[in-house]
This record gives sequence, C-alpha cells and structure tokens, in this order.
Amino acid sequence: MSPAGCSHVNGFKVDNWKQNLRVIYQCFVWSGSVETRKRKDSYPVMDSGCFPSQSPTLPERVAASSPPSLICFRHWSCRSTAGDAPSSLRGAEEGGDVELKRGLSKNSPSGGKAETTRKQRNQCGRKSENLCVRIFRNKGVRHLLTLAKSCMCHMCGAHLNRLHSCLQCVFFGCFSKKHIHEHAKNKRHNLAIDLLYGGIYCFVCQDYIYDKDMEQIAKEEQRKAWKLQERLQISMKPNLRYRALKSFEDAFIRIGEKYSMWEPTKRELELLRHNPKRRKITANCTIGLRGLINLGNTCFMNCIVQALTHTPLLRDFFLSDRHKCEMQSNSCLVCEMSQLFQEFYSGHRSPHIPFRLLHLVWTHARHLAGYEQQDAHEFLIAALDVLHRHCKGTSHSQPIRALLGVLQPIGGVHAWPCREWVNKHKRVKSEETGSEWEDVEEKVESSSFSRSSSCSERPPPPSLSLSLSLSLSLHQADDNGKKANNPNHCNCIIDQIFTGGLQSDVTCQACHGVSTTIDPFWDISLDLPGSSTPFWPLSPGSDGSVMNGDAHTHPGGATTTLTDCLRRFTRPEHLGSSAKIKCSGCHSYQESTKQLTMKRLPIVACFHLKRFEHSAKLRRKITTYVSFPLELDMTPFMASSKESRMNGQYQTPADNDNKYSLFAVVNHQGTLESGHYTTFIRQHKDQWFKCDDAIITKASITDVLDSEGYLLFYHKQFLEYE
Amino acid sequence: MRAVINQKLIEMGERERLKELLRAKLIECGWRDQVKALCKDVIKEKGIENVTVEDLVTAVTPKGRVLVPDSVKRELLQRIRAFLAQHSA
Repeated sequence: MSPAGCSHVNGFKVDNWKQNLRVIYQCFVWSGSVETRKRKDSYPVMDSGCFPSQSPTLPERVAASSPPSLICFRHWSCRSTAGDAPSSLRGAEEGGDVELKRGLSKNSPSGGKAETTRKQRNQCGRKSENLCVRIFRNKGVRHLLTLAKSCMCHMCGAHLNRLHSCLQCVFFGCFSKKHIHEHAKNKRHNLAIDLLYGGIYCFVCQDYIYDKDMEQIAKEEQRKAWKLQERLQISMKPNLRYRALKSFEDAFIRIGEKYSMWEPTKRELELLRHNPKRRKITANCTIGLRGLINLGNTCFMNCIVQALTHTPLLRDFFLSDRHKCEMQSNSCLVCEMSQLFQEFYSGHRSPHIPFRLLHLVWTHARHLAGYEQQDAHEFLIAALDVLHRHCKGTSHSQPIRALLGVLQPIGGVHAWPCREWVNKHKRVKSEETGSEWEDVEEKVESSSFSRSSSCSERPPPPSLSLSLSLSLSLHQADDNGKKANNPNHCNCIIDQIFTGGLQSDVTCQACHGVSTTIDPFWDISLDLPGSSTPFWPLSPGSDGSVMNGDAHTHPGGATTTLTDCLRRFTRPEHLGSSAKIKCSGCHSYQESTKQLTMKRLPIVACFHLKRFEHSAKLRRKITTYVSFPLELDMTPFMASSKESRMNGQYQTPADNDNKYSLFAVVNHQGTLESGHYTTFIRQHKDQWFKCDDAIITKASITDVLDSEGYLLFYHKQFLEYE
Repeated sequence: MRAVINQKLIEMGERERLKELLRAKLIECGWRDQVKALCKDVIKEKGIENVTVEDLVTAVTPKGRVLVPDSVKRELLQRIRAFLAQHSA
C-alpha cells in the first residue's frame, strides 16, 4: 500500500524541514524508550540522543558531559552553566552562549515549571515558533543532544502515555491523555510525531498520515539508528562501552526486528500486474508434488530429487530466483535444479521426465553414468557436490575440499570411497584443480577402503583411517591445527543448508591432552547393528532416549532407534594398542581414545543408515528395522553438551537450537543386486505422501515411521538470523 | 502501589527486559498474528479509507486483551514477583 499523505503537511514542509525532521527522528524518536525517559537520573551514564556523526569518539565526549540539558532550538546549541560544559562542546560552539540548564526536575514539572524553561529558552532572543535547527552552523560538528531524559509530557510529566512531540515547536505531550491534542488546538500546530514508533499524526485529519517523503526519512533514520547501535557495540572502548551501552541499549527501542517488510519494487509490481494468476496455498493443497518418470533404473535419482525439491529452504531459494548463473556453458546443474523446481511447483499433475537432469548428472559425475543401479546416498553426495561447485560458477574454489567432506574417518561419517571411485573422480577433477588433489591422492592410495555399494575391499583398520584423517585435516588446517572456517563454508546455498561441522577429539591416554579437529560434513553415516563392524553393544540408554520420544517400536523386543545409532556414533572409541598416535603433548606414541561430536549442525541434517555392507566375506543388505522419530533433539550429541557434561554441568534440554523435524525418508526395497527406491515426503505438518517414481499416493504417519529407513532428512525447527 | 512498583522496575531496567520477553512470547504463541487478523477484519469492515488508528485501537484493544493466553500472564506475573522479592527493601 503506498503511503498516503494529507495536505496539511504543506505548512510544515518549508525551509529546511527535511533536516529538521531528521534531527527529530535521530534525537527523540529512536533514542528513547518510555522506560528511559524517566525523571530521576539514577543512571550515572550519559544518555545521549543521537550520534549523528557516527564517530566513535563522540560518545566519549558525551559521557564526559553532564546529563540533561536543554537545547536552544533556535541556535541548536547546548546551553550550559558556566564551567560545566566540556571544552570540546564549548569549543565547538561558535559564538553562541553556552549555558547548560539542568533538565526538568524529578518532581513532576507542573505547567509553571515548563513555562519557565520555555521562557528561558526563548531568552536567546527569539520566539521559536518554528523548529529551526541549525546543525551545520558549526561546519559539520553536530551537537549531541541529551534530551532523552527530558522527553516527558510538558503538562503532566508522564512519559508512558504514547508521548508525542509537536513537529512545529518544542512540546511534548501525552496522547492518551489528550495533552498533545490540547496543544495542537491552542497553537494550531497540526502535526505531531509519535516518539515510540515514529508515526506522524495530523490533528486535522485525526489520524496518522503516511506522507511519502516523511516515510522515506523515517525509514532511513531507522536503518541508521540500527547500524549505529551495531557500530557502537564494536568500536567503543570497553570501559566506556559498558557505561554508554547500558544507557544506549535502554535508549534504543527495538522496533520489531531489523527485518523490514517486503515492499514490491516498481519492476515487481509490473510483473505482478502482467501475471495476474495467483496460487493460493491452502492447508490441504498438493502443490509441489509431482511424479518423476523412471528412465531406466533411475529411481536412485528420483528419490533424491523428491527429497531436495521438498527441502523448504532450498525450495525458497530456487523459487525466489536466487541463482545468478555465471557459467558460460549450458551445463550448470544449479540452473537445471531451478528449472526442476519450476516444473514441480507449476501445478502440472503429469509426471515430469527428468532427462536433462540425468544427462547433466552423467556429465558431471561420471561414476554415476550408465543404466546400472546406483546408490541413492552416493547420488546425493555427488549432486550436492556438483551443485556446490556450480553455485560459484566457473571460478572453482577448491572443489577438493568439498570432496574432503566425503573422505572422513571410519568413525562413521561417510562411505570411504574406494580406490576405483577415487580414480574415476580424479579424472573428472583433474580438469579443474590438480595440485591439492595430488597430495590427497597420495595419502589415499596408501590405505584401503570400503564403500557401501559396489566395491569389495575391507574396511580400513582404525589406525590408518585415523592417521589419514588427521593428516587430511592438518592438510586443510590453518596454523591452529583446527580447520579454518572458510574452505568448506563458502556461502553457497548448499553449504548454508547442508554443511555441518563434525568435531573429532583425540585424547592421549598418557597426558590426557586433546587434539581437536573440525571437519565439514553433508550427511552422517551411521553403522547398524548386525553389521560386521565390531562394537555394537549398546550402552544402556542415558542421554538421548529420554528426550527423543521414540515412541514407535515394533512388537517383539528392543528396537534399535536412531538415537541409539547416534549415541554409538558419538561414543568415545578406544583405539587399540596397534593404533598408537604420536601425541604432541607428551611427544611419544600413546594409546588414545577418539570421540566424534557435532560441533555445528546444518539446517538440514541427513542421516544415512549404512545398510549396504561390503566386506571381504560378504556383500549384503542389513534390513534391521531402525525406528526414527518425527522430532529429534540433537543436544546430547553436540560438542558443547559433551563439554558441559565433562564439567559436571547439567545441560538443559530446552535448547531450541538443536531441534529437528523429519521431512523426508528414502527407502530401499529389495536386495543388494536389485532393488527399488521410494521416498516419503512431508507436504504439510501431518500430511505425508509416498513418491514412487511416477506414482504419488497419500501416506499415513504410521507408514512413514514403520518403513525401514535408509536416508533420513531432518530440518531444523527454529531458524535464526545470522 | 502500582506506581512504586513501576518505578522500581524502570530503574533497574527490568521493565525493558520484561517488555522484550513479553513481546517474544506474544509473537511465539501467535497472539500478534491474531491481533493482526482482527485489525484486518476491522479494516475490511470499515473500508481502508475510512478507518483511523484510533478506531482500530478502540475496536481491537478489548478483544486483544482477552486473547492473551493465561500461560503468558502467569509467567510475567511470576517474573515480576520474583523481581520484587529479590529487590524489596
């Protein structure tokens, strides 16, 4: 709705009115909450109105000056009593009297008192009928106003009753008690400003008006005020900062949040008018659900596409057209994803044929090419990797690091890629950046790996994987030995949504020194009971089971739950005597324990249940049922929780930051050789749908929770602004 | 009595904190959206050109007061009591 003004502002819009209005905003509106416009100065700090010059030294100067003073509005100078004003303020005043009056006293200023001060104010010689502000009188040195404290109703001294300030003279009055109305009638000053929210009231129209120019000024001043507050927090010296901030914080009313409402631009209005068809999202609508044709064993791709197109943040990113493509060729996968989202949310009911997507996938992830059956999890990682790379256009910044997110120690993060796969990948990658890859390749060659879907090599013994991971991490690390934030935390949407940080602590058994590294991850691969990896006895339920209501159990005995798997994932693992690590603390080879915890959780957490086992002896699929909850609290698995547990603090489970909700489940039916993938998608809060290639059917929550579960996608419940 | 309490709250900065807390709680429990919806109804009824802020305030305030959930009221009261207990002379 465009601002609608009224004609009564024309009397006000004369001379330097814009500047005057700005000063009013700066000094009175955003600078004082009702709570701080108190009469007593029990705050021994400065409570300045504004810092117009945004210089960090100004607050210091103000802090030195004594609190309330009245400003002569004609000359816009601080009028102080002799000797009181600090030299800086005094010096700045060219040729004006400097006399500082104590502000209105703490007892409620009756009409008489207000009269006096007004008279005194007028002593500088003129009647101030118009608010005339000569800020620039002193060539840019602006005076600080310390009027916040004297912002109170001139008739009753209150400051809580929707205080308004007359725009045409110096008068503050309550709105609720109609004091300002009286003033307006008596003086015929028709405009007043609400000191709480900045709205401008016209007494003739008897309503708040939204004059376009004034609204513009209001918005700019508000933004400035916010920025100023931020800057103050950063730039001030600590001792002054506390004092200043103490009052400054109080002095700043938070007008909602920094977030401001969306207003359509001209172009957007044009577009909206040209495209009048609107789609209304009702509680039961099926927008976004669309089948995908199977192009020949491509169900592994279809199921991941379904999950991705129903990831809320990703959907919002693409539907709001955020991708600006910098790639010259037509082979940008992100563009194709964008297209895909358009197809899915177009409202068409017929299944979509993703042939272009398939082609692009083949081009960029050659190990997935061909019509054989592939692993959905592997496709997910490859897809995220390619999207991540393409998000930055042709300037590739270390695609290797994205891959390193995949090469993780056997503690259970990712499938350890096999040599073949690595080699294949290398061929693709060497076109891009070669050097870092070589380093890694070397180290990689020296160990053996296992991989979930197709190779038949043994899982590496823990020592090798550990040393490899350490060396890999160090390879990436900065001087602190910790992984720097930047390599994998580029700002592409994929990283913002999917990348989390996994903390790996290696504790030397001799000196108990801990060496910590943080590695990025896109998903978490969890071992299952019944696998041939050792060490599956479950520790008797302690942390996770209380919080996560895994209420859903199969009849017939103790079921493994997702939290069991997570607990196993984050338990301290004693690396045997064959895997001694050189400890930098005691400079010798010692036995150690390793523990993984979550340092930083991604917005979308993907759990991969390692159902496909490949060891020298057998290749099989583990079909053990694992129950997973609809709501998951990751607090017990966080690094911070582990620390507080070690320190003996009880950590409250009420932390909203770690709560997740399930929104997609990918299932695999069949055997290792031949099987089929399907996905359950959450469309609305309690409405789930099953996506089986081209067929979409409604599903119940029980169906979802009863399913075997292979890939589980959880979305953070509470998102915070950075 | 109320004035004295009020004064104390303001001085210690507690009123500001309580206000922030209240604001957050009211948003969280959906009260703000409900009141917004009420305002929209009033506007639709009267027509956007004819409605003033005062109209909205007088029309919506009583309903808004009723809509505040008891849990929020209880929590605020509790905090005020705790504060007074802590700081009573």
